[in-house]
Order: sequence, then C-alpha cells, then structure tokens
Amino acid sequence: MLVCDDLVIEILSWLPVKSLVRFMHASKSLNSFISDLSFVKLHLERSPKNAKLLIECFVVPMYNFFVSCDIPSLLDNTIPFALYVKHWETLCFVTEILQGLVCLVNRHCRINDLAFYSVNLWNPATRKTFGSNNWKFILEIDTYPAFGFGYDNLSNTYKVAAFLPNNSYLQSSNESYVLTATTYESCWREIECFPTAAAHILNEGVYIHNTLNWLGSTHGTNKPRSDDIKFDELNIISLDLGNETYTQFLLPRALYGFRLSDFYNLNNYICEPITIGVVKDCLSLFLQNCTNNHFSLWQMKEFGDQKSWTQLVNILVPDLEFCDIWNTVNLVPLCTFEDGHIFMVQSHCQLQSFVFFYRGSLTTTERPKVPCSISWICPLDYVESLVSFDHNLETYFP
Amino acid sequence: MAEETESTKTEPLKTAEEEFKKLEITEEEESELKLETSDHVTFMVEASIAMKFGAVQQYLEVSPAASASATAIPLHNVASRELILILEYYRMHDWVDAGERDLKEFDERFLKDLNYEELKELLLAANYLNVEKLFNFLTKSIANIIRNKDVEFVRTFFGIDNDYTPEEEAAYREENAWAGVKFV
Repeated sequence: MLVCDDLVIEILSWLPVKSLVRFMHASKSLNSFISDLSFVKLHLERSPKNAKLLIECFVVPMYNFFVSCDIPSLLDNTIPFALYVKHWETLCFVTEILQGLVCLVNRHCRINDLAFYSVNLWNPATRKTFGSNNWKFILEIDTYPAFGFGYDNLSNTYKVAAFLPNNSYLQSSNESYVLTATTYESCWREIECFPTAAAHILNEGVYIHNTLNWLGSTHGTNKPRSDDIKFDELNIISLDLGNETYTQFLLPRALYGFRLSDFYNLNNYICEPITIGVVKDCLSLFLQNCTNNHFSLWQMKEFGDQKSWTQLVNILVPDLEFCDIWNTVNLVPLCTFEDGHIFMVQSHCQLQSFVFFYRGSLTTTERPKVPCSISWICPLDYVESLVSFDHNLETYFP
Repeated sequence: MAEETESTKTEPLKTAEEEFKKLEITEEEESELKLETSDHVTFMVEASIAMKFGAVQQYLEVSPAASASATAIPLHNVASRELILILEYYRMHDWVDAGERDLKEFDERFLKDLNYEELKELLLAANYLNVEKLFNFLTKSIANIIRNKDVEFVRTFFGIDNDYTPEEEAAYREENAWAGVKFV
C-alpha cells in the first residue's frame, strides 16, 4: 500500500536529522522533499526545544571541539564523547546558535600586525560548513570586533554583524558592518555607525525579536578601567536586523549609582558581574554580585520598553549552598523548562562546570549530582535542524 | 462496539461556571450522530466525539439538517474496522478519569495491536477524517518505527521506487557514512 506524499512528509518531519540524512537517498523525489525549504521549516518547528546543549570543549589551548548532548545525559554525567567533532588550530569562537546553525568566527594572525577573520556557518547535525572567501576580512591586530549573528525575518536571511570598537589609543570611527550570508558573492557592507561615541562592549550579540543586542558603556574611552563604569553609563545597544538601524535601552533604574567595581571581589576578576541573555523569550540581565553574594535576574518584559524591567530573582548566594565556588564561577542560564530554569555555572579557573537548577519559584537549587568531567567553555542551547545553503557555499574550514 | 463506556467525557474543568456550561452541553449533546462507513456499516456516535472529526463538522456545515435527522453522515474513505479503532482511541482520550499513565499504557497497547499495513490504513483514515490528535499520534509513532531503520526498509514501507543509479547511491552512502544505520 502506498502512503501519499503529504503523509510521508508529516511522518518524516518528526525524525532526527541523522535519520533524514540517511533516508534522503531513498529516492530523488524524497531527497528533494527533505531539502525543500518548507520541509526544513516544518522540521525545525518540530525539533525538540530545550532538549540539547552544544558544548564547546577545550582540550589544549587553540584546540577545541564540540559535543552535543541532551540534558539528562548531562545530569547523569554520561555525556557522549565528541559527538560532533570539529576542531581548529586557530582561535575560534561561537557567537550564537540559531535554528541549528552555529556562527563561527575564526581569528588568525599570520602577519605581525594583521588579524585575519573568517566567518563560517556550521550545521553540526548535517555536518556541513558554509562560508565564502568574500566573508573574510582583515583588521589591525589590536582591533577586537564585537560580533552578532541573527536571522532577519524581513528578508528571510541570516545576518552576521561586526562592530569595530573605538580603540582607546588610535582614533577610529565606530564602524559597523553587516554580512547577509546568502550567496558566495555576498560580502560585508558598512551600515550606520555604532551609536555610542566610544563604546566598551561586554558581550557578543544576543539575538531576540529580530534584533541583535550588545551591552556596552557609552563612556568607554574616558575611563581607564572597565570596572569603573557606572550602571547608568551602560546601555543595551540594539541593532534591528530588518532596517539595520540602532536603538539604545537603559538598564533598570534600581541599578543606577552602582559601579561595576561594586560587584567585583577585589581579589578576583574572573566573574563577569553583568551579562545579558534570553530567558523565556525576554531580554534578561544577570547580575552577579561578588561583594554581597547576591545573584539577580532582571527581565525586560516588553522588548523595547525600558519601563518594563522586572526583577525576577534576587537571592543571597549562601542559600544556594555553593558560596565556596561562587567567586570563581559565572552563572549562565542555559535552558528554560516549562517548570522553571536551569542555570549552568561556569568556572574559568579549573575549566570545570557545575549544574544548578532553579525550578518553579526560582528559590531552590540542587547540588550538582556530578561535576562533569568535560572541560567546557561555551555551552549553548541547541536545536537540531536541516538548515542548509547553496552548494557553492559548502566549504571545509577554514 | 459503540456502547462500551458510559459517556462521561467532560474535560478537566477550570471554574464552576465552566463546569455548569459543560454539564449543560453534555446533557444537551447526549444526542448521537449517525455515521456510515465506506463498507456501509452505520454507527451511532456520541456527538461530542463525532464533532471532533473535521470531516463531520464540514459535512454538517454544508447540510446542518443531518445533525437532527436520521440521515447517516457518509464517511467515504473510512472502513468500519478503522472507525472502530478511531472511536476506541477518542473514547479513551476523552475519558476524564484517564491519568497520564493510563493513556500512555493505552497508546502502547493500541499500537502493539496494529501491523504496519493497518497502521498505514488508519493513518489514511485519520487524515481523511481530519482528526488532529490521532493523526499526530500516528505520524509520530510511525516516525519512531522507522527512525533507526535503513533506507531499504523506508522504501518498502512507503512504496518508494529507487531512481538513483548504483553509482549515485554509492557516492551518497560514502559521503554520509556517519549517518548510516550501523552507527545508530
């Protein structure tokens, strides 16, 4: 008995990517069904959310690889060893994972005072990497751009943004570039300048609501040290991917008057006292105070409305029973479950991570069952997808 | 088959008011609809269940008189064997006292009793009737059956003709060896 095409598509849309890659060569028509954009979208919609993490592992300096694992195996400490192996011998960092695509930026210094950057989009599930010579660029070695990766719903394209900060010694403009990653020919375009006169950017771009968001200080160059920055001088700088213009949002008023240095433990500069991210579809601030041992979480309930900042969590760390490692870790929220949150605590010292939960009321936590044996730097929420590009873009890194 | 349980199919209730409304509806809808399958068997089905079938709703929109009259609503692409299964599924899933575990056990048993051909027939019937819950349950279950199988199984299962040349297939296999069934 034959099952008609529509029904086959419905059935296939529930399958993991690995099975689909295998079934693609059942026939040419099935292959074109699975490669079709509408199927890729349907499959992405149905791919389990908040189920997997992509962990960037770190073996020896300049040599890293990635592991994808599901949450239960993380908790049981049965992480499969190097499922998605990909390693580079040059410095490489992940800016964001979106729809199963990882944006990798590779920095390579071949000539003394020049740094070569190349941008690649990698789909770990299909094991394909996409890139183009036109996506590369060269900068002076002491310029460190801030990157962001997002999907523009208006043009239905992936965009990578790079912003070249003002160097405090060399007077340069706040140039800002966008790459629309569609074809081999597409290349970096200059867009409106980054809005702040002299910005000090604290993170990679965070994607939410068709925008990329950075946390930055508007008075960067006036201050000799970044920890001297006041919270009222910090802004969220938001790039709308549709019209490629910037807007800025203020931080919650309750934070005004404090300085970043108020949040540092003077003996320890390891923790980032403030980071931004996305929790439950809202732009969120994570504040880790190492002097009074508080952790707080703020959310901008209505994106773009500065008055909608709401404090969701404010806890004294001894409650969490991990004050012993508090000064050496960063709390990074990873997944949001139906019933609460999971936070990952990263330690930069021993390159070890611990898992903590905040469930329901967000006031309780559990001791990690097992500190995981894998050293990682960058665990990220990850959804498997079939997202792909033109064959011309398929490339072998770098 | 149609008269196996008392019709106690109210959904979990939120407010007293809602509860009241629900009671009214169930009382009112103790009425049944007459459905006729492709093999000319007629079924008296509780309206609350029959109205979950998109095909029935559509029929009644066109000819509303059928709900009150004794005319049977024809289901051209559903045989009595499938309709019995579909009713069994919906009666269980509508049963207010059924816990999550009961439903899980029921679903497992439901699947175990079906062979591949029956499963496909049932999927076609569910598709024709336009019953979302069962349709999703069936497509997911079939996906689970095939997910770790090889290409040959999938071809036979769906009746797909292989139009690749042996060379093309070998090249594809080599390129995507990592996705091969033996690594699952």
